[in-house]
Amino acid sequence: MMWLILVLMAVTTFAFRYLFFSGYLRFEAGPRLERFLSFSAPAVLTAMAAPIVVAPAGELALTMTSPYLIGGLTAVVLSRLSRSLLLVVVVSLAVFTLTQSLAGAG
Amino acid sequence: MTTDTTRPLSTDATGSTSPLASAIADILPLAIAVVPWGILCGSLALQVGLSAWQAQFMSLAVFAGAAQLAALGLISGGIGSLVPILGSTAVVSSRHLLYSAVLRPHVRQLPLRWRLALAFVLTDEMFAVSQVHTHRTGHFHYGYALVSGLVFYLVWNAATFAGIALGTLVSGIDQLGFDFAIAAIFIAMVVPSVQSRAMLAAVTTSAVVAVAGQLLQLPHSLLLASLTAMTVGYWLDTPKEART
Repeated sequence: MMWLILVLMAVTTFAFRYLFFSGYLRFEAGPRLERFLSFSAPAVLTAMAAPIVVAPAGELALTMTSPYLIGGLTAVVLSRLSRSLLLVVVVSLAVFTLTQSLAGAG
Repeated sequence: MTTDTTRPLSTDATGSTSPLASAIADILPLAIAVVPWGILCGSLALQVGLSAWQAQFMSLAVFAGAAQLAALGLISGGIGSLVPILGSTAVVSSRHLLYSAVLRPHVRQLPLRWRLALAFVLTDEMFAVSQVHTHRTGHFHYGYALVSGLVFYLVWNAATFAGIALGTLVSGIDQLGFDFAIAAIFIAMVVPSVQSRAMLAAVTTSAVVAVAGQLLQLPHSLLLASLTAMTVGYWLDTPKEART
């Protein structure tokens, strides 16, 4: 039974990924739809990142002691200042860890 | 953003780095960031009763961290039967429909084997890095997309293998703040792409709706946030035809 479940999970996920790649699908995206879709990557990435930064444990954590919030704000500010993804991630991770230990000791 | 041409394996617009090298460099931070989740998938699968083969097969065949963790959560909660798991998989994986739709114009003229391969490795992360690359260079590189997807696939499965090998020793790994690394990477990818009021509004909308959706425990909050944000962005973008 588990093998069946795993195979069906794989089929489902692949079907969603492949659906619009199919040659059988008669579907033309006009310029307006393409413009709509052009917002997709930032929209999806933000939708995934925002809850982690603002509500990491499932509840709003907007205090100055939240390592997620401080680290997240650091990442936003640094991203405006630097083109290096590595720099932004390493520094904001350091800020996150620092805030975590400072807040934990408080 | 151009969507009409695909460019085979060649240097990008700046002529500096080959797309394949960029693909590996661009996907690697994300691949490393999800290693804890891969390890978790491997060890959690064993803990809820899957065999080692089944646990590895899950990562090899499904290759979707969120869907895998959701299914394993259902199994550990005692509702691990076919219908709930498939329902959960369909909901959690539904955002891949969006990725598929977005990439459609780029891949439709590719041969079948390319479309199958690219679809197979189409994850949030592969989508994200290849979209950024497309914006930066002006062209979609299918070699870039495939390489970034394959590297991510290898790392994910290696991490799962490590989790299986570690067995039941891994617990509480999701409490160590590894999710922050992923959030930081995504922020670093999104912020540079906010170049217009429309995009700023879209991103802000996405953040607000996503957080609200999570707090209210809405089932499709990721897709809801994304589609709402895209609508806002499109709506604000429409009158400004002159803006690229």
